[in-house]
Amino acid sequence: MRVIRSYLITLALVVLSASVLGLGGCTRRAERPETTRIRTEHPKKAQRQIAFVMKLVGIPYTNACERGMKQAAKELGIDAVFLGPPTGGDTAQQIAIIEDQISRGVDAIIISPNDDQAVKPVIKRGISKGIKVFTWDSDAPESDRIFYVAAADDVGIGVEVIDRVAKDIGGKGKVAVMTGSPNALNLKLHVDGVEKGAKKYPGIQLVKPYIYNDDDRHKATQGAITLLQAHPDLAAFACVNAPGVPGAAMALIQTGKEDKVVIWGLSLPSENRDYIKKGIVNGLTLWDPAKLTYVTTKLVNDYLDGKKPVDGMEVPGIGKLKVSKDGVIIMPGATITKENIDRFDF
Amino acid sequence: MKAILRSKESAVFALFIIVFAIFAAQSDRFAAPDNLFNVARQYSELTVVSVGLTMVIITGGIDISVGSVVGLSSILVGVVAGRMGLNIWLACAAGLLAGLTCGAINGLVITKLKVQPIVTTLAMLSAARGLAFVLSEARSLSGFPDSFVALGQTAIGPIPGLGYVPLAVAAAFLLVVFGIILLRGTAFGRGIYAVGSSEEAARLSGINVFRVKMFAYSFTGLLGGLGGVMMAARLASSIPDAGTGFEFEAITAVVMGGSSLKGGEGSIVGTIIGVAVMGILRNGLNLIGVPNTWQVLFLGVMLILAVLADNLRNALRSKRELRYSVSKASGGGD
Repeated sequence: MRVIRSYLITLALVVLSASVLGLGGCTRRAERPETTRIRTEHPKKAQRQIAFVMKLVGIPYTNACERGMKQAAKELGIDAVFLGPPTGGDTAQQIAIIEDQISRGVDAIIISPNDDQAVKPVIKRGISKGIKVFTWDSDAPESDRIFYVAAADDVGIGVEVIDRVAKDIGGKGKVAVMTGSPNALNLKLHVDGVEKGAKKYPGIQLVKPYIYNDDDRHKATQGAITLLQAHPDLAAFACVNAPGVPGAAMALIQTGKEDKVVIWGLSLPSENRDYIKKGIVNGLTLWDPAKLTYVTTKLVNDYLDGKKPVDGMEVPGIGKLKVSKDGVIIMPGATITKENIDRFDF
Repeated sequence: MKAILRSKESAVFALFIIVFAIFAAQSDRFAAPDNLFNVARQYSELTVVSVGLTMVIITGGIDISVGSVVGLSSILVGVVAGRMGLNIWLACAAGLLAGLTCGAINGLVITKLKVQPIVTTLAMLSAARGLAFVLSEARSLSGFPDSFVALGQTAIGPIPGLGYVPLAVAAAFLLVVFGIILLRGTAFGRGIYAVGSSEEAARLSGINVFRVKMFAYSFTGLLGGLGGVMMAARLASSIPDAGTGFEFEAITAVVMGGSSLKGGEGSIVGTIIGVAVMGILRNGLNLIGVPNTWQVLFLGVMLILAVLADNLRNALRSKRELRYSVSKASGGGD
């Protein structure tokens, strides 16, 4: 009898844990799984289902992505879910999530891969099961994905930074270039863009050597201060990695040059909000993850309707999209200044 | 009937049935063989690692370095085959050897230097993961021969009644059978239980405690190495953070499966059902679209409940045994 009682208590705990799943109402069906009705014919799907699988979830950047997806899904009347590993960008977990969505039989899966090689087999499997698989935010170029929606053109965003700098300094003066490391591919391309753009302005001189901040804000500040001492007539900073902008801003504050030197760069609004509002940082060029995901959702939905993206197509409120032959779709970047910073919360 | 109810696996099996039934009712895709094999394949590495960890826990020890060992092995496969361009089977051997070495080091430090298992394996957790990052320069590696990649995707069969079974699942199954036979069917296996119940008593009855512990940790390391090789094949790339969180999931599975963290009891059958519960839980929550951030919470709740259930069971049993011994009745407990 007591044995049975202890068993019952254990079972009670088990049921409790099941009800913690938020599905407690269903436990009465739990007698035997064999007898559970397995619906052989799938109920006709009322809605189109798509799933976004991010590198990881739960950080401001990905929350903004999710918001963009939800807005588009609402407008389109489709069922869209936003998934991803909850911790640390775990590749194996991300792939498990993709596999589960393949099992679920969604119409399309859109991935921002943690590892462009590791997703190749699972993308292949999804496609072989008739699911349309895309990438966005980050690509897996060697995979079978249908198209990739890129946040911004890596070179183009560098050009944009120097264009903005040129405008604010009247097309002439010494400009310091700040980046993270000489090796990272995306940063190299951003710097290429800055150099390419600078050629348009004969009055602008890029100060060499560039500042490498190793993605460390403190090093960014130190490097900027050193450079300001060497070049007291410096007109602007063009920064292409996230810690560069607030690092340079701090350097201006410490040297009392807030009003004399212009700062533009790629960075996060949340790290620069005060600096932008005070006018120390002139502005940021980057992409809006919400819009990126919003547009991706619409493009995927169009594709499922049989409408393929075309080069130069106009997306209302966003601008023109660049579509290249290898299936890469590039969104126009966003520019963040004092006027619109409050709209960006990542 | 009582024996079945009393077995420690019954609780986790009941939990499995309940979770299974809930998801089968919620999603028409869940109970499809395709999906279940998909889950089994995703969890094949964890299954393999958990077999070893069950033995370690039965000896009264713990090994929290298993996930890092998986990562190190995975990276070695990538470094040897991908970067150095050597034979893929040599690369797999390197992965297995690395796992075995890590396990043997754990075993030696624990038995010879008498360092607590949790501290020893915590150090290994950090060291093995660190080495994986150093060797890989914190990048994932790929470029395996197609034959190896195909191995991770392939299925064997058709097996009557099951259809095509993924190779990784078949391999994990064989290891589980091996583990069960070893633990239940051999004198060495009974020695593992004896060491966990009372090391002193085991020593006095002539069991080589050093050998038992060395085996448990080395075997777990070797299985971690195997897990890394399997993951490299399944994902077609070597990832330095492969196996992150395995220690948590494997320990949860072992405890849910009825093994006592105090040692001396537990079973591989229970552990495997524990792994299955976690597998279908993750999969089911994904299928019905529960946000992934919630799933971490669920797993934590599961672990706590499993430990609570275990404590409760032990408390009830010791009360019963006490009563039996007072009334001089024989046959109390098990």
